[in-house]
Amino acid sequence: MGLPSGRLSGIRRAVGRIGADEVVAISWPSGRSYTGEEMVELVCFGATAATARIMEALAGAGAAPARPGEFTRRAVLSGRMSAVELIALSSVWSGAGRPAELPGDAARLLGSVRLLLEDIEGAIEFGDAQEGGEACALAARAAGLALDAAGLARAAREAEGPLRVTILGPVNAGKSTLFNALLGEDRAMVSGSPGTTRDGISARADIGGEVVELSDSAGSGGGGEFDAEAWDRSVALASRADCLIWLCDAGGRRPPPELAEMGVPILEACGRCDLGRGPGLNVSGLTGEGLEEIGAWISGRRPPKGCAHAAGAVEKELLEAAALLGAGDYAPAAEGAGRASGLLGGLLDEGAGPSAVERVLERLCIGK
Amino acid sequence: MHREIGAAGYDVVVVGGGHAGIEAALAARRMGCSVAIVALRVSGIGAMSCNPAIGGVAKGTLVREIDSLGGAMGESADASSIQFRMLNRSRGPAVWGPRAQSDPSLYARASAEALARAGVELVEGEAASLEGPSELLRGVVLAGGATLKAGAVVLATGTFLHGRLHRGLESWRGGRAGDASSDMLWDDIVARGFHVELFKTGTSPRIHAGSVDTSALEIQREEGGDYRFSVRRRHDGPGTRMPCFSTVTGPGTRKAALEGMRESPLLAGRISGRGPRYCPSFEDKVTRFPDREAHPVIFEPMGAGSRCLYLNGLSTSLPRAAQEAMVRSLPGCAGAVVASWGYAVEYGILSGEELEGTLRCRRTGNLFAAGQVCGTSGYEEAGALGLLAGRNAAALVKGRPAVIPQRGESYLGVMVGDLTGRGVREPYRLFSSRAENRLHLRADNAFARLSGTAAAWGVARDGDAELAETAERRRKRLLGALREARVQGTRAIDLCRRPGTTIGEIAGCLGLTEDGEGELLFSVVCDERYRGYEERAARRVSERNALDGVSLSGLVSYEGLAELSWEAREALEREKPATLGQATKVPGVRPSDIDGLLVALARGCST
Repeated sequence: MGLPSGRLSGIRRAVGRIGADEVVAISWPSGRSYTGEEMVELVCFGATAATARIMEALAGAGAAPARPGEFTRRAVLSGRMSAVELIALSSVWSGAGRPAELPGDAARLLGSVRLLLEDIEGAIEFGDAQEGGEACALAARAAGLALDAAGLARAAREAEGPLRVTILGPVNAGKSTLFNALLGEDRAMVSGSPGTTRDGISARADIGGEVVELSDSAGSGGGGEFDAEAWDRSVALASRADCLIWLCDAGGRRPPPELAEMGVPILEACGRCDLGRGPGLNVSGLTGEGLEEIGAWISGRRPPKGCAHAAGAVEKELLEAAALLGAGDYAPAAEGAGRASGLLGGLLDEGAGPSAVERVLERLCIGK
Repeated sequence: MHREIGAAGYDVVVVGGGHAGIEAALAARRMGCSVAIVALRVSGIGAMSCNPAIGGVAKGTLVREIDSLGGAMGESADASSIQFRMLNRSRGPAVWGPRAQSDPSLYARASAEALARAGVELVEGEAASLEGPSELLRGVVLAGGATLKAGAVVLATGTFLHGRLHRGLESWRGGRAGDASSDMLWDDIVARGFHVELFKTGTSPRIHAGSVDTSALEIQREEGGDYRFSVRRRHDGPGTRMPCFSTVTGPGTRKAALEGMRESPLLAGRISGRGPRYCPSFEDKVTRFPDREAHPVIFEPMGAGSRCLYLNGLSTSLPRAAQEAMVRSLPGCAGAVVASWGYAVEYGILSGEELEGTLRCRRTGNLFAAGQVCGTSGYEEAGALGLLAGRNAAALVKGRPAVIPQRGESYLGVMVGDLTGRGVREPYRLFSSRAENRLHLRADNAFARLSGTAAAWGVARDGDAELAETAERRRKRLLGALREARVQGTRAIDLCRRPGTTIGEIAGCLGLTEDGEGELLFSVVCDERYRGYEERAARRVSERNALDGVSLSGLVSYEGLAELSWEAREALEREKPATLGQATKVPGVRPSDIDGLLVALARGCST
């Protein structure tokens, strides 16, 4: 269309057999548009009939209408948008947390971790006979960054939404008792007769430091008139969960294949252990046995590609690095800081740059 | 002097008698080859052209590796050491760096003695060209026209190939102050179609010790500790111990440098070669860091006999007047007399693409290269490469397989991998962080790591096997004792893994004095401490090897790959990496682009 390069607009006569309609065409060169691709934006005036005609002309020229989320998908594919920005964007749509700050926070943390790594490497390769307090100062910085990482993990957990955990198992295994115990309040009706729970019931809870949407479900193998349908609903509930808790009685029945095939993590536990113990993890909603273990298991279930999971791992690496620096062991501390920087870089989809020691050479005056 | 040139020639001829050439010749001799070194000046063999020190962080470990592979550098450094320090003592045992101040004349003498003992022939002359077709060289032609026949040739030309020295606006041919350059050989190599480049480096002025008031400087003495490089412990050093002195530059130094800058060969565009960023000239520091006034300068003694001090930190190619003003601006140096002036040297190297991991030149059948001609800097890097090149040259003659050292096993392996992949863009120096596995590549365990390799390569010295056996026995005994001993219910071996536990404490648990089994205990404790990290490091190495094993040669063009970001397409099109591993290091290529490349490769395979 003969538009100038750069993000420039101009009024052009629309192509084809459209008559006197005019559009504003904005050209976006590659690397400058939302998706990173070369793009032309057409702003149409006037009646919907004219717009429809333009759409028709475009379709005739080989254009296809965008599917929902297509531009964002393309932005991620072309490297314009990182995982953490995507999470932020999706939680803007779902209205949760303070996601807009996530990418900035993660990038700032990455910057600080890189500086720390540079200073450790700089001290190793070029440090003079040690100035007093060098190790302590580095350790304190690592510990401070671990705190920042913990904050990032918290914010990311909020933005990613609650972890969906569903309790399943045969009838009368103590699922509702466990549900109430994990919640810390009586929400589900409990009785000694099998099949008391018919429809799934869900509630928000804080378990093992995680925001969790916990669901109770109807048990399997009830044998009553509506039991088969109730179990089907439980399986449907399970299919939307991030992880499952399979609670059985002392007999130790294994989860049925339709659950195992879902590919989500399953924790198998033996319920009502106050009445009779089984193999493996024993829990009781009544006595509280096993609840801590369940909490610990749940807190490790964040999907591994997510921001919250990575930020948690970053925190762990930095805490370990701080301890090693405090003990005067720089090389393994640098490894930990390097892994932290790699995790954050992966999250922000940042590629290879110069190595830490090369960045030191740019930043510090080295060489005797 | 040995001027007789045997008509039958030699198995291996080494061009150059520096740190690379010496180790190359000795390694080839240990393999049972007849060997000659061609040097411009036989009395210059083993010279320390730059600062009078051996070792440092990673470099000191490399010296121990050379020593463990049968080389001479460790013993020569021990024999000439006038001060020994362990760098990074407070930064963790994995990065301890042994470093010795050397007396250069004693170092050269020890090197010459090692060559004489081994029966290496020394030929004084200029190698003017290679003889015969590149596919199978027949030897080396000397400047007078005589030919040295050889089964294999090792190029170890240092800074001499097409060497040009610069000081101010003066420039002249030479590989080092006072020596000629090697220009005819350069012309031959260029004519043979080798890819070559120019690199640059520089050195500092030396001053007369008697003209300095050292009381104005801070004194840097040897710290205690009976450290040595060589596991064979043949040398106690010359006995004379000498301190270094340190100070920082002031406003006067900066002013003198800035004034001299008008006649800087770099600014005048007389030097095109790339210099090392980790070893910048003083004028470079002043330009790049204008806000900083105090740059450290270390006065290093050039040995008991010389009465000269090397000014480490003041590398410069400014004119003499500026150098003198810079020196005299330093504390205690108002009346300092310069004994020899700093200068820059620009020299020819072979591009990384010319080199195989065996250090054989790719386009030839029997030419090997080592040292600065491969793009490195530093005596230690040169020595280690020389050892490998000499070993493989000898193996070729003897009909034995060539070897390539592995990244996970030694700094030598790390260095060879770095040099022979995409090559280097500035003089290459070893850093500990270049290793994926530096917790394993330590100075203390070099002999344990490599004595088996030395034997397998055929470069071990007589008696090394027994030495290794004894050490292994003692190691096992110590390990047993660590498993047995308990302190308040905790096994001593578990204490090793606890950060902050000192070797002294562990020795105490075993009822040992730190001195008795000190070094070995240190090594055993480090092995235990870092055992947990080993697995991760090994995984990193194998991941790296796996990525490097994925060839991108099937991808003709990146332009049409929709999986990649535009930035990555442009970057990859420009850099054309050979493997996926290299692609991960191209700036502008993101992790998601690597996934995209895998998808593209998989699609390529399925169609």
